[in-house]
Amino acid sequence: MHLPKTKKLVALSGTLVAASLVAAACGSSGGGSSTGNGSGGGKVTINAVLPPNSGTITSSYNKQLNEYTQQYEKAHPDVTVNWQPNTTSSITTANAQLVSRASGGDDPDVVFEQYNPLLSGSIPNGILQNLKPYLERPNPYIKGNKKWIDSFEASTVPYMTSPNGQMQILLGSNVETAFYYSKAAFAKAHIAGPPASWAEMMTDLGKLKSAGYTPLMFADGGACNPSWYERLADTQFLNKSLSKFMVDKSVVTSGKDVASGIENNVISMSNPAYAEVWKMLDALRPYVSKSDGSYDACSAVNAVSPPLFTEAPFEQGKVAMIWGGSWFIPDLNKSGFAGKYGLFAEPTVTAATSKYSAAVSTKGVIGGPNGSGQWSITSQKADHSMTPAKTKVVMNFMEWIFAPDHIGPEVEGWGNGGSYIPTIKGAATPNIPGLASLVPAKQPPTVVDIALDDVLSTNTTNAGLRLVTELMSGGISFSGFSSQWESLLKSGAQAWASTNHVDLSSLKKK
Amino acid sequence: MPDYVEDGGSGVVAKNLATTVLVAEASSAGAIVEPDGITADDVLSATPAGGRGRRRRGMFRRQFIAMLLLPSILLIGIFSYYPALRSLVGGFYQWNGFSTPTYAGVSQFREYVKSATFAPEARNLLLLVIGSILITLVSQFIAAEVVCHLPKKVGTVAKYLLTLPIVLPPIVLIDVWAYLLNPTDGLINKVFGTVGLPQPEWLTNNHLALVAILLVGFPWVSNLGFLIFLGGVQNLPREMTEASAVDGCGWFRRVFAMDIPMLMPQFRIVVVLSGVYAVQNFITILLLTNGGPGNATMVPALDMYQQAFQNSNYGMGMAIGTLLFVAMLIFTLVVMRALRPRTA
Repeated sequence: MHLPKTKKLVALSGTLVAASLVAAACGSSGGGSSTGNGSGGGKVTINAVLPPNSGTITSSYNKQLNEYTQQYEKAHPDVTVNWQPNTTSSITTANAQLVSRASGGDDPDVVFEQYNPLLSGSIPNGILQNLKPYLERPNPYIKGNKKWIDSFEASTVPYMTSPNGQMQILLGSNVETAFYYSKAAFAKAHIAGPPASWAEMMTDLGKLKSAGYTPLMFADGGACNPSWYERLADTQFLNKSLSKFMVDKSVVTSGKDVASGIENNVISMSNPAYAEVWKMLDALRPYVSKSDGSYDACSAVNAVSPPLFTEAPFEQGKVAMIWGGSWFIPDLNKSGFAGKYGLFAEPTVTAATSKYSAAVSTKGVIGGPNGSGQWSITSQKADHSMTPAKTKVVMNFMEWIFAPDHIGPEVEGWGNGGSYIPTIKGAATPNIPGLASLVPAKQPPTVVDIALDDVLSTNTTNAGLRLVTELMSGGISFSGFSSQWESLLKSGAQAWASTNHVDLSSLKKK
Repeated sequence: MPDYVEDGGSGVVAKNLATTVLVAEASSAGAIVEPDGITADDVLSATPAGGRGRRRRGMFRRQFIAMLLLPSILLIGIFSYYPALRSLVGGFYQWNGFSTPTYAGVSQFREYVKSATFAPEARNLLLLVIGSILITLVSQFIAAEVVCHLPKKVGTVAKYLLTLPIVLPPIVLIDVWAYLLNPTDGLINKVFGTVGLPQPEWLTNNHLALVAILLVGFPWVSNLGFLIFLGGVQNLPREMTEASAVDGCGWFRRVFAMDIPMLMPQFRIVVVLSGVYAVQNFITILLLTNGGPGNATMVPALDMYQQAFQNSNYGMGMAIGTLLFVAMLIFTLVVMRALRPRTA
């Protein structure tokens, strides 16, 4: 018996839809298999991601890294290192890609990472390997070394240590941040020199505005300036309250610490000390331009579409001050602006600004071991080729890269002539003018990161960045920002608790 | 056995006056056309000689055709239907792309609708859809009318000039507009500054950012809608145009009284396509403003993308995708109904 054509079509379509439904319902999150090439005795290809904004392995930034890689490959003919350009625009995007590729077991072997997401616990468990066993044994490329971890500066080690005691990151260099000012603008505004406090800086911004300048660029087209600001102000205003919410007691607040702070209403707009963080930012609004949303302090130098790099309007005299990293120094010098600018570390927020301030020096709080040359190693679950045998090969290569003789020149290359400082003892340290003034003389205070650095969740970070942009562009009032920020904190804590299977009420302090 | 008239010589079988079946001779390798209710087997089995052999060959031919079609059907199933249905199911699960999904019911749908960004996104989307449709209809219809009524050679050149930019990759266009709209170095503001006009912050002003997004592609002619209208206008009955001219009907009246009503099918398809495109396309927004400043240009499609690929919140992304699909389906049905041809 034959079905009419329409009925056949319906039957076929129905079969197709049913099959798709069954496949969809049974669809798993697991990825495909991968033929590993990491077993001992065979050829090994190490897939590694380059530092951000450094181009390809043959760029001038990576010249030394390329040279040492080739030396390693020559000494180990069975090993090939495939350095991949870093195409992500921020650590948030990089980690989103990391998690996404992990679902297919397709991550590179060596990935770019930063200490914040690791210490906060925002990266799902099982993606990155614990490197402590390797760090506890000698680095064969450092003469007389008994433990690899001993080759790192003591101040760096806490940033490599997660609250659970694991070490999932290798930190290669320190970076610092500073306010850069136009000497011509300061002269015209009759400002003698860098301010000694935040209150003095606010006065100077007023003078610059009166002199006809846009005083400051708060580049909120990207994450850098907003997250730097949050870290600086949170550290300052919550320094006296740490014991009221910190649980993990690391050098930087973890997701658990922040969730505890929110649960205990320490990190809440109802806490006047915390509210001061955002009131201080609101006070900057009259001194910034509404077009700052097109700029990001961490954009590539040659970015042609938003967000653009901040140096161009600064050099063109369109803005008197910008907030940037130590990597701005060689960039400004090379573009002919040497001698025309000055710089100063973020001034201390004193009681002249707010009675809630702890008035601690925040030098080094924003920067720290956040320069270039920061890598983590993916697990076999995230990268099916990472067998234990291959991991050994990869770690041996990393030991080579992190040897003092090598890391120094590598860091100099990434820093475009020396804007980063190696974290390895004995490594050559650059001496570019101005850099030394940004380096903290002693261990910075506990870094308090709350919403804008993936501490709670990337959703919270992205939503928070938008809110900050709305505030700075005048899109919402401070009271509107305040209530939305409070909701964001609450939902962020819920999201963190859900991801980490923690009962928020258990964090309530009595 | 259906009623039919067989002409054994030519093989033409007619069921009735309204239905004609052309049947190839059993020994030749012709195609067999089967109208509803009559199959080739019915016809072939009616022929006195070689019926069983012909049936077998017919079946083999159908199986062969089915086999050839199977890869396409499978690929459509895998790459079109499966992702759509997977997304429908996935919206009910919380999933970060790596760990095991957790059933969440309708909570993610509820969370999205109740979120602080839902209202701005819905408003922006509505403005973009209405703006895109109006811009598309007006600019592309006018361009088609003008081009069709230009002298022949000029019209041909104009057609090519207006159509060629369609082949440009969209990224190139967006990059050019990123430069044009740059607040400090952009060409538009430089020209404005030269003639003494204010220089707006196109992409960073809360009120202007959405307008800037709509500006991209100005004069908005080089698009599929132009080709659709062009084809429609070119195929309008010439005698009607000439008759209206003889009757003293001006250009304006001719367009509104004659051309537009006759081109209603084209209008319908262009409205649907531009509406769907406005809903689905977030690339321009992603590259120019990333939904900012704040949420001034945030739209559901961009939110869906960010939830999945930036926030590793795939379940939420799929939930937003499902809601978008439902919205587009309703929009399409409403438009198709509202602009359907009306017969006397």
